[in-house]
Amino acid sequence: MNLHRFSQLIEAYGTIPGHWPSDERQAAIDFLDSSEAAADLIKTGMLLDDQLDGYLLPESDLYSLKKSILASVANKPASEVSAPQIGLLDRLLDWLLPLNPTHYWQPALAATLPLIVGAVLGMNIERVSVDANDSWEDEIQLMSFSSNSVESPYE
Amino acid sequence: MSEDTEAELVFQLREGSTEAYQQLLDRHLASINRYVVRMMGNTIDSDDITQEVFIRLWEKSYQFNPEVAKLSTWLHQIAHNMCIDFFRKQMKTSDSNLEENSGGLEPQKELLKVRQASTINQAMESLPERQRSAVVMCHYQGLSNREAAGILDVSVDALESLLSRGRKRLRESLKGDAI
Repeated sequence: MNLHRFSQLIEAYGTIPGHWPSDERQAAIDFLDSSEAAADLIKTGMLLDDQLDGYLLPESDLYSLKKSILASVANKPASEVSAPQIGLLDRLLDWLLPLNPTHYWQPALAATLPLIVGAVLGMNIERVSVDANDSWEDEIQLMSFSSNSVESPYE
Repeated sequence: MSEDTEAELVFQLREGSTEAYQQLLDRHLASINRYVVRMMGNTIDSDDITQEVFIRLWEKSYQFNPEVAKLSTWLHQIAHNMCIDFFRKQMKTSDSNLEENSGGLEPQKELLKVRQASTINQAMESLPERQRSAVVMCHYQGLSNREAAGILDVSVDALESLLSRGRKRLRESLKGDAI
């Protein structure tokens, strides 16, 4: 913690230590204890916090609000409470790429899927091209038997 | 109430338990309503929005993932989005509804408090929505910087920038109006 960062904290979060980021709070408090410049920043910054705390909030009647909310949801059909049915593809994607993966092979499998699909496609293309060569060989062989391809010794 | 218990309540809510819903309502209604009132500056629109937030909890609780966020953060996020939608739909004029706070105070003190509250209210309302949200979440609602950043969908650095600019603007608006 230094004066520059401390100043940034006061500018952003104000002078109440409870509002400071938890991972920097203790360091900022320690710095405040040892720095007069930091104490001056607190004195200056406190004015705005005091003003903000003096803000009178219009108050809702929470009891009536709660009653109103409960009345609203009482009319909602139970079917809206349950999760909607999700499709097979969505379920597969959720399984492969869960929000919080516990098994890291699932995302890894998802990442290798394009490779697997590519490999399968590649093997099939090779097979198709081999079939094409076979058919060309057949065609050449057939051409060799045709009358046009053989010169007659009597001509 | 521990977070585990809250997760259990949400699970029961998904099964349609109104008792679980009432417990969650008791726990979060005041806090969410305070956030919305501070964003809107009055109680009339705020009550409507708060009601919508909790109807959303009833209808869409399956969208809440307790492993990703606290329920409080999720509800603040819904409330924030609804406030922003409201602002976008109608550019509302400043109406602080201060008459609701006027009961029981002596006339002089009442006048002073009304004037101060009005000034702060106007200063808050003059902030751009995202700066106001950031200040309300971090100063009044006690959300952590990460939670507030998550709700606003920005980085923590961007949140700090919003807060700094918001507080600077408030300081300028309230200059010469020390309490």
